[in-house]
Amino acid sequence: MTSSVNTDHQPPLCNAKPILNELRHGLDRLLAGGNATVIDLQRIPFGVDDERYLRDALGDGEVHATINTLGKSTVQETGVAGVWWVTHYDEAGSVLGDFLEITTIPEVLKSQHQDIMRGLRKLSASLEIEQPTKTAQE
Amino acid sequence: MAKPKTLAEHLEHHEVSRRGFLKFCALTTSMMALPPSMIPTVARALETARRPSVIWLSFQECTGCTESLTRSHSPTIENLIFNYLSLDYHHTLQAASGEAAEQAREAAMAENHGQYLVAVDGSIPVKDGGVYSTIAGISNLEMLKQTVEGAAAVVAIGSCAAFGGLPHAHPNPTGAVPVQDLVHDKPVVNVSGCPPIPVVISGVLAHYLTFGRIPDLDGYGRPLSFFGTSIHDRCYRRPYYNKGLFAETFDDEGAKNGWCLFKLGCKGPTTYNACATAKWNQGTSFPIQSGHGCIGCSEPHFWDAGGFYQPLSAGIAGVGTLAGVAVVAGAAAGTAAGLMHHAKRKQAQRQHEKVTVADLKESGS
Amino acid sequence: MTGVELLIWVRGPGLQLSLAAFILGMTYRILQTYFLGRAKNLAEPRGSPWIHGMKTMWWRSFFHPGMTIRGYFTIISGYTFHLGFIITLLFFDQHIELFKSWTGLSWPALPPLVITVTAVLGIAALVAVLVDRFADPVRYLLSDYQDYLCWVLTVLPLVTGLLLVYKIWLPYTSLLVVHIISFEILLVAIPFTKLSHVFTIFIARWYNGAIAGYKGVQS
Repeated sequence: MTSSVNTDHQPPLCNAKPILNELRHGLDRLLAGGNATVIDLQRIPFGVDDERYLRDALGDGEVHATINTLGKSTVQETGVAGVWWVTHYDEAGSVLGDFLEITTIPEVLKSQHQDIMRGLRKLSASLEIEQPTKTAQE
Repeated sequence: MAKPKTLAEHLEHHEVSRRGFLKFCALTTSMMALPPSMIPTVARALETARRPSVIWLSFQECTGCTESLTRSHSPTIENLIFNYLSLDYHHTLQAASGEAAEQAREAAMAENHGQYLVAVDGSIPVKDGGVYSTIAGISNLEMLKQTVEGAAAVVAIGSCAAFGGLPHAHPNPTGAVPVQDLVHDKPVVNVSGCPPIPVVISGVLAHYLTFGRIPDLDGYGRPLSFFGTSIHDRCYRRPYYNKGLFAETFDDEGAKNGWCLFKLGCKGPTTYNACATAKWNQGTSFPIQSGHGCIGCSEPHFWDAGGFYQPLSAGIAGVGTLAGVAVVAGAAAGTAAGLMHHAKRKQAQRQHEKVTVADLKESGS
Repeated sequence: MTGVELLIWVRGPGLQLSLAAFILGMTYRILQTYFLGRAKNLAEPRGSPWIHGMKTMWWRSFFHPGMTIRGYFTIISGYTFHLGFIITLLFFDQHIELFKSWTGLSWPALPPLVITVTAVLGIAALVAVLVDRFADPVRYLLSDYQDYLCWVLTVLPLVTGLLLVYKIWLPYTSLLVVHIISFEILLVAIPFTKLSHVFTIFIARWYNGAIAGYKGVQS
């Protein structure tokens, strides 16, 4: 653990350390070619300082991404490569879900098959519209 | 365009991308308190989920449960759920009223016979034929019987519907009973709480929508995924309880340090609910985090379970008068027994009087 | 009756009735004993029976060398059990809350870990004296059902309390019900069994001391 982490908090930590251990095991699994792990932070009881402790311990990584669908979502890699912090917001900006994902890239960042198909249809449609115009000009 | 049949079609109809659908699935899984490893299963189930009809009945209640739900903090996801569910009757929320409203209920019942979900908030008065609460001239008791007859399942929302709640509290003047006392032939899910946590209400509805059946229940008919652990077991102040560090008043050093609220009457150890994780007011906190003990609102009879500020280890009822009576009665009995002994001894002493010369003379003559 | 309903009963009417039975029974036993009276002592008093009685009541609670004439086992297990039980009863914070609700009085509690130790020691000593009761032929022959009944009634609150604090075996609500019931049964049983010695021992000690005091000798 980095020295920047202050370990003598006044209020006792609730689940921050178990989560860090869970992440450690998750990274082990990932390196061994195993499955990605997702931790739902909203289902884990947090004390007053747990979230801050967790954020301090994980730090900030290289990738920050924003997704705009059904409200905003932020996806950011933490200072520990392979650990991603995914937060979903609603349209008013309230947090709906908070997840830690141990993976090479969170699924939600990837372009989805159905969306690609829809995109292709859109592109084809726009090309089909272009073509008759061109023919008309000739 | 025809009404979309499955949720995937519904979302596509609303031009929600697949990525949006994934977000929706992750959040729905979280809302149902299922582990994130279930997200792909939920996604598959939701793709083909069919649109259920919901009839919401409000009986002896304060509308707090509906308020809890409609003012919940995640409008997008809950809206999607509620847009997707066909909420065919809810007399507080619907635009129609009177005859038109009742017709909507009857139409939904006829159209979805055997498949619709009935949500109930409020208890049902049964005393004097159920005259104490009526809607459109129909008693609550009668309306519940009519509506549940063709239902697939019933969700009792709030402690009144689940356990009788405030109307059922002593002396229960209207003879109020919970849904489970009246409905025996359909599955009943109790989503207790006063009010219930909004995400728990939508979570149960989402569970039905996703899997087409009700979730696993505890001994009181509550979904285990939300009511499986006590407030005490998930409380971040638990370490203070274990160390014996308690707040004695609401403004002492212990209270400021965030110590355990057991002595201030916290009912966390005997209360099962998801407050510590789901939290309230847009995820701000839950009662204990705000410095007030749990009042145990999701447990049966919580209004009759003693004062909110009496510690769990203390008695509910006063003992002063009874103790006084006991002392007096004990003293009377003890004195009586003492006097009886005394009389007996005196008698024994008399019977053991020494024989005098006079006595001998008398017996001799 | 569900667990919650039972809890409401044991914390309400159950506690009221058992406490009333305890107070009634104890008042009855003490007054009945008092009214037995004693024959008037016609001898001239050579000291104060009252002061000597009170002194004896106090000093007999403590260890003195003559007590080990028959070995150490009874002395050590006896002290361990009684101290363990009394400390657990009077200095666990949740128990203090109960006494506070009855009397308005409260006092500082001992840390839960200390209470765990006293409770475990209390149970261990109770087990030891029970084993001894079976092992010692004289004690075994002298024992009747009431001795075993009293043993069970005394050990139950300690055991159920430990299970409750560490949430072993049953859910908290059920354990709380069982623990409170075990305490209530003990309360009702005390005045009407050998357990009434919780009060009468002090009367007996006072009396012993008073007789000696009257005669002007050490008790």
